[in-house]
Amino acid sequence: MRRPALILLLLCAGSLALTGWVLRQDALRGRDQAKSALAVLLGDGRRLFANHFLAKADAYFHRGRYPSLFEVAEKQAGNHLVESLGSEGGDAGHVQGPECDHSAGPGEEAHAHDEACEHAEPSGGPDDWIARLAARFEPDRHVHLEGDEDKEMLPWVKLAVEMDPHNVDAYAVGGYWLREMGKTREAEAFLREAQRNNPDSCEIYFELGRLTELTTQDWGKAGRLYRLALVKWQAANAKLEKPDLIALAQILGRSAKVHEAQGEYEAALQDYTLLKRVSPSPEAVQRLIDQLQKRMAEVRSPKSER
Amino acid sequence: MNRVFAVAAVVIRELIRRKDFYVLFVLTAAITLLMGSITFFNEDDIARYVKEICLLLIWLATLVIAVTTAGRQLPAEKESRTIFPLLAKPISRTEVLAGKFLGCWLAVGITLIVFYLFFGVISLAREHELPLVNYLQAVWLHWLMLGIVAALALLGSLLMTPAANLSIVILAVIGIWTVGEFLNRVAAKAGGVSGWLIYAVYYAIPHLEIFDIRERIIHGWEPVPWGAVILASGYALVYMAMLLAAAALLFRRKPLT
Amino acid sequence: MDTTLRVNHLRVEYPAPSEPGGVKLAVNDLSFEVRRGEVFGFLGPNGAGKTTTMNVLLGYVNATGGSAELFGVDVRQPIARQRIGYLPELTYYYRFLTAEELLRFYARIFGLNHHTASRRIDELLKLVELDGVRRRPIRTYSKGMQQRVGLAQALINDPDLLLLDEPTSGLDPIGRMKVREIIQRLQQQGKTVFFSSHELGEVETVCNRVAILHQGCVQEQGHVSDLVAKYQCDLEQVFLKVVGYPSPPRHE
Ligand SMILES: Nc1ncnc2c1ncn2[C@@H]1O[C@H](COP(=O)(O)OP(=O)(O)O)[C@@H](O)[C@H]1O
Ligand SMILES: [Mg+2]
Repeated sequence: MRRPALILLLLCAGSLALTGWVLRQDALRGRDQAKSALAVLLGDGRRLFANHFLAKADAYFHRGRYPSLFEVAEKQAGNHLVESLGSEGGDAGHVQGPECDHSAGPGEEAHAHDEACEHAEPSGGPDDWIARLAARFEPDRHVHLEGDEDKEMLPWVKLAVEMDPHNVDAYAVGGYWLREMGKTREAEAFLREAQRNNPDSCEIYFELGRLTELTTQDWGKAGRLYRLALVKWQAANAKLEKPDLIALAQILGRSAKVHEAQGEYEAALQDYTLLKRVSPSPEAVQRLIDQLQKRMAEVRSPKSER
Repeated sequence: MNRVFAVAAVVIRELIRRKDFYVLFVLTAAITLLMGSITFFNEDDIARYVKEICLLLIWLATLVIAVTTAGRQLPAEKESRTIFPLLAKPISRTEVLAGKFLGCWLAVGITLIVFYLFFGVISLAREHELPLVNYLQAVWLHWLMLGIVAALALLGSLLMTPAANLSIVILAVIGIWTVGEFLNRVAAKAGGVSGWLIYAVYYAIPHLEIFDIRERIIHGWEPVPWGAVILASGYALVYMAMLLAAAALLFRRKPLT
Repeated sequence: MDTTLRVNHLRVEYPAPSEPGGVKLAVNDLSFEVRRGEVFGFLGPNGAGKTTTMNVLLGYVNATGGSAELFGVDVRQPIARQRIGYLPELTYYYRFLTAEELLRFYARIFGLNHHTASRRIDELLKLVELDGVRRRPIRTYSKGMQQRVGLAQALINDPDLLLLDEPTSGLDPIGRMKVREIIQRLQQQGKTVFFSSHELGEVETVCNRVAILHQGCVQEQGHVSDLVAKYQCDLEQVFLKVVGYPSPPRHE
């Protein structure tokens, strides 16, 4: 009579144990088998697990505050990623912030933004006494990990890609955080692995570009990676009814910056012009274009004076 | 009362002498240690995922222990026919039921202490700190939650076969853990008659998810305000009392043969 | 002599969808009395209604008609069971307890203090000859030992009336003899014993009076010697005659 539940639990426990074992084996052997035993064992359910783990990483970033199903749904319906294409524009800091948008990553702007959310109503659902009681037991403020706490997210990112090596978001998030933590070697290795598993993903090239930009200041190499990202984006989105314009805007934004840094103003202008057409905030892009044109004029004018 | 305690003592003795508890504890410990031995991205001292896995296993293992222990009591009395010599003695059926419940609840409490001691050791080893107040709150709330579950399983054992009871109670508990807190929103969205029905369910079910402060423990939040803990304790005790009263009514009328 | 146990026109029906009428008549117009200090044998083949009658006496089953009293108190009142000891048929006691722990548990339910309980437990374990294995889990006991544990638990409160449901069934000859000895010893102590059985050899030697039950009705009751005189044969043949079984040819 008590057997079924025991068996159920043993199965759960067994699969967890197996995860651990597989991960260990990979770690010991120096890794890479996209089709690990676990992946085969769990079949398609692994994709679900991967998404769950990724959501967990995000919740860890908020010290245990999960976006509820409702918050995610509301978010997708409503204020979908308002890209702020500032200096840090388009980082994949985390994928699904709850009611606040963090896509700007932990730049200056982002911090100001978070403070505004800090005291936001936790869930925004109906307000009955049970909900009020329950709310007092949950993490109730919007906070982020601090200092070296960032590392606490890493296991879930790793588990997510272990479950589903085609989960590009997980790789992007992991790459971003490893880079943020100054673990550039690990970030590089992780993104290379991502690339092997997802050779056609523009996001991974984009992340590799960001990593190169920030760690080596090799603008030329970063630019080449962004160019590749654009090619991949084109291949993936050309025939889509609703192409992923946000990803495109991210790539164009960074590509333009890199061109600008190398003094290739014409190319940068070209990127910005394209960007203005796809960006959700064309005015901001126009301001960048104006600035760039001013710089171009400055560069040109001393010549003409001579 | 002495009679109630006598019955409870037998339940506790049974748990201590059965293998289930040890098997589950060893499994929990082994999996936690195994998961804890993995290094991610050459980063040592990552603590929270180990705490999370350990707590998840503790929640599952103790749920299984609570449901199987409570669900087994009355059917086993009937199956081994010990209920006959027992009730031939000056003890009422309500006292037998109360003793069974108390025994299950105390036994689960002992189990929780053992499991959380292990958790404390893991947490101390990883994070080099031991927020005692938080952990005590976690154990206390967890124990209240399992008290409701045990009462539910005891009631269910009077209505269903042991296997059906076991699966239904475990499913119900996991269902409440996962969607219980959202039913009010679902109701608000649904509206109309179905909305009212969902609201009725929302207010009728014991909200077991309230007692889950794992996130606070994992991520090092400050303790829950004591006022809320007291409220939740009252809430749990009311549900236990209602479930046990229903069980007592049923048990008093149930033919033994 | 006072009456310890009285059953008056007792009728018990079980709901039974398969039977015609939807009920199974287990006991039909049953009447008998057990007096203080007697050893009373309640005889009948399997399915005669012996356990059902015991269940009524213990309040587990409600009578459809008639009445039953213990010490002059209706069996529906829990107080009626204060002074009885009961040995059910085929019981598997808590297998994870030792005999000593089991008896201590029951002693606690009777509210015996620790000292009295210890003394009683020692006495009883000696009486049923389980003293040597008192610290072994009941799981490891043989059938006969389990039955003797049952007898010990029925005696834990030093009851005035003992209800024993087939105390010797499933035991080997030595086991039966031991149970018989214990019953005789209890009678010497002035206890009233009411026990059911479908085996007759033992009944003759220990019972003062018997009732022979068949299909829920008492067919015959009286002193063993009177019955033997009346039917001009031994109790076994009385039994077979009463339950309507053709008696085997007599060998002279
Ligand atoms: N719970 C019950 N439901 C229906 N019928 C029963 C039940 N218990 C006993 N009976 C029937 O009542 C009759 C008497 O049973 P019982 O008292 O156990 O006989 P005995 O103990 O003399 O062998 C039998 O025919 C039996 O099948
Ligand atoms: Mg019988």
